Amino acid sequence: MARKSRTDARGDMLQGTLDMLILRTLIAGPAHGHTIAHVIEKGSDDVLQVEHGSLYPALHRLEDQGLIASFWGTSENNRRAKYYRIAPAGRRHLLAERNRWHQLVAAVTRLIEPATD
Amino acid sequence: MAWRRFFQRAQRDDDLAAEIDHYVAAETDDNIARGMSADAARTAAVRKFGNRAAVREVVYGMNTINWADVLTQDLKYGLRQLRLRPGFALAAILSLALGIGANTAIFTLVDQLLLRLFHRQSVGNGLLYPASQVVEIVSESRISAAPATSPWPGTR
Repeated sequence: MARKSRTDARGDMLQGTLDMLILRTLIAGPAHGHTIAHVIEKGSDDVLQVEHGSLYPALHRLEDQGLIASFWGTSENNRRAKYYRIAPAGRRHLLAERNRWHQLVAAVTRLIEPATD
Repeated sequence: MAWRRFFQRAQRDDDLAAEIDHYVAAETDDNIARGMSADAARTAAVRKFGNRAAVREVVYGMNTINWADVLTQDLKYGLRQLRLRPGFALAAILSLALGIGANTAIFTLVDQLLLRLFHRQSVGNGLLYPASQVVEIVSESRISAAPATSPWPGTR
């Protein structure tokens, strides 16, 4: 039977937002999946909950697109962990996505704010 | 570069499994640091990650060319069924072979007798007949059945 693609199911997050947040997190330096999820959750005061069913497929997809690269390293607790680092293409992608995000937020804000005349 | 993932499916699945193991271990450590007992910390970490098989399946699916995967499955299944019932397999293969062979033989005959032979005769005659007359002429020549008095002089 044809397997239905579930790669687009990203919980409640707006499409593309998770990719953007992952790239933004990696600007600070290489990190593994646990750190990325932690940074996004804590950085948003737990407003954003990272679905692992979305995070790992997203990391996989970003790596295939050449936006991030991965390598195996040793974590703080001496465990073998897969680290991700942002690639130059990822930085460019992040800039473009951030502009798009600002436009989107501005547009939605204009629509939902009551007219103050 | 991206197509390479289709040939590294097993390797990448192993990597992802190790990655998930690492996540659970790191989360367990965090939970212990928050004051949980070791058992409770691990249980909470596993629960927080959620369905690990589902995550692996999604990524596995991303590394799969679906139609090629299904085709391979079907081929393997078919071969297994044939080996399971050799008698049936033999009958099926024989009837296919006979069918294709008979078809080829008959077409070769029809091709030589009706198409090429007639083509040679009409070209030799320098005449071109419309398709509707071709059938008539062929049947006439059979009825006369006297090669010596061929309706097309000069051809043989």
